[in-house]
Amino acid sequence: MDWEVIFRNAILAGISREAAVYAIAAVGLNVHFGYTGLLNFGQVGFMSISAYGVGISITQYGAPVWLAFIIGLLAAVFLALLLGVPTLRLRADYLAIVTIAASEIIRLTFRSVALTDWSGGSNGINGFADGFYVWNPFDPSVAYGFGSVKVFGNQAYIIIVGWTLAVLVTLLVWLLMRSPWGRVLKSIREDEDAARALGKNAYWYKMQSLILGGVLGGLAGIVLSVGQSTVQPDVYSPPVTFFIWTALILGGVGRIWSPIFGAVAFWMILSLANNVLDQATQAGIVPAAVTAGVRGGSIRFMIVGLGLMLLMAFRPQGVFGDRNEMMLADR
Amino acid sequence: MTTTDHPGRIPTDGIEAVPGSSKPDPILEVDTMVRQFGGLRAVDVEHLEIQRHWITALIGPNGAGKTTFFNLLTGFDTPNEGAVEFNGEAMPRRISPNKLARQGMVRTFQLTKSLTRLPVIENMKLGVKEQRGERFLPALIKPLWNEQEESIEERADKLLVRFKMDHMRDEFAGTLSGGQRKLLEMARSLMTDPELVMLDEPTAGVNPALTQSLLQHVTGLRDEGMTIIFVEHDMDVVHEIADWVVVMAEGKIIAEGTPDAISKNEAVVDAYLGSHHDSDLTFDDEGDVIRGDEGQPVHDEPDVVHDDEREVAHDDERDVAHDHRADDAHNEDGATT
Repeated sequence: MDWEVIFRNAILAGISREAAVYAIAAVGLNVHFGYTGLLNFGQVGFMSISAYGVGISITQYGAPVWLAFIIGLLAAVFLALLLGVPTLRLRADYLAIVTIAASEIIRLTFRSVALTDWSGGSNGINGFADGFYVWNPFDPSVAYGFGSVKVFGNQAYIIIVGWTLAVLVTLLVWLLMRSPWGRVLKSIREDEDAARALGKNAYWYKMQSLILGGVLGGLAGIVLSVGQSTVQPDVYSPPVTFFIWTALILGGVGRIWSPIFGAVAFWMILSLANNVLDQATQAGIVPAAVTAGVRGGSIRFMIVGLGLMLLMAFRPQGVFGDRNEMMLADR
Repeated sequence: MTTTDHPGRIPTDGIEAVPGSSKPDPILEVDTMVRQFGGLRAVDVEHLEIQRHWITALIGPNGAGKTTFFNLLTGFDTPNEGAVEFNGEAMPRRISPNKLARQGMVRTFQLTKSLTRLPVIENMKLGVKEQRGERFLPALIKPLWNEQEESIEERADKLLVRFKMDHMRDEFAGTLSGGQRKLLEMARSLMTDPELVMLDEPTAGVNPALTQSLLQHVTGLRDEGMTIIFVEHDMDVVHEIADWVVVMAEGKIIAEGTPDAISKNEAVVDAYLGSHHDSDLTFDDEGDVIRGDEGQPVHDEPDVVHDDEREVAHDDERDVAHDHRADDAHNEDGATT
């Protein structure tokens, strides 16, 4: 077995733009669920509406890149308002139902045949990201990195942008959560009626939380689409939401650094499972019939799933979480 | 703690002891307030005035509508008819609890709502109104709210000392005992600088020693000039601290008066506290408890029947209605679950 390949790929997966995207989206989800107690099962909906916001405003209306990014983020604000106005006065479960449905509605709308001229149907929108790579300080044809861990210029560029944003939004959330504003969010998570009895407008705070987390989801979607230079509807399908949840829970819900840690860990574990399986098959340790064809991919998710089940059984609070604190919630 | 009376507290002499009697300086006034759940009139109050600087007890059997009435007064539920006049100002019929709280009306809950995964001190600090750092953009810049935060913390610490909870300061509220949570909830509500404090069964489930200190705190608040309304089942407690008692039954206010007058009011005592509330239980030939003047056997275990439990017999239907109400409070716009 070639351990060097295994570890190199794991590191590449851990620092990949996908990991950065998941980290940013998980920061948003952490604002929703970890700090406010909002159940958002449609984070990918925020990602896609912003990605399409950027893609459509550039290809259809010729907007400059910076304006397109702002439009993309405003689209996420719009979605948060749309989802929040009817549901945030109701119990938490209603938001969960509405968000998961909305994320699918958005995907199916953008990929619909009737809107092909506008949103590109199932092929999505391509070639709108050139304006972003104009600012790329790296040479696209040169591989950058250290040792054997190397990526080409465009990749290096998006990775650096992605992780910078991930750290910045984490700091933003840290600033907010140490403030009285964050205290109100946490009080709503614990007991909304208590907060209201103390004069806090719980509805408005939940709305602010939904918008903030949604915009962070949108930012993640923009990074992803720009990184891939394309926005395709089926990239933004429900499993992405649940992978982001996985990353968040892996790190520990309601902790500042857990989204970044969780996203890195999630992609590394996925890569490790894949490459170990690959290498073991090549080395004859695992019979080739087991991992042939599509089975390999399925087995890797089974291994990851098993790992997550063990984590939930033995460390339900995630890596950074506090078990005692978590148990209090059930009392 | 000060034990001197607040100068604004007038004696109860000369106030008519009839339902809806007028008081010289009411902080809260209610006119024809109705809350209907389907065919059931859970609350149907014609007129009620709550005198400023008094401790008013709200009593009545289970299902009398006390908590529903509390919810209507504090904005957690919306009446079908009628509204509240607070400090001489008419409130809209549909008003959110947070708005009322900001006007100076604060409440606690029958089932204590401590913010379990926040430390005690953070629970306290949450209570303060109009915090600069509670706005999104200023929240990002600590110097804008730090000074206020420090003065809030100082105040919170003082209150914790007064409530003898300073040793729990940095513990999660979820680790407190039931009684301590009641204390915390009361202390936290004081952080809002309330004029009117509404306590929903402040002593329920609290041990006798802690009950005593809790009651001292309540009278202390009155002496500082606050007005208090509290729901209570224990007549001893009512006797001990209440200036005035309002009796509810089946959604209506059936009597008002001083604690002494109320406990001498035969109708109230017989119908709503059980005629044997101060005597031992009596048994019929078959060993069943004879209760009240209905003379009907009760099917509770004879040796565990307390005043409270005797009242349970009234009707379960109403308790169900209460549950529906609790849901409605979440769904302000009336969406059914």
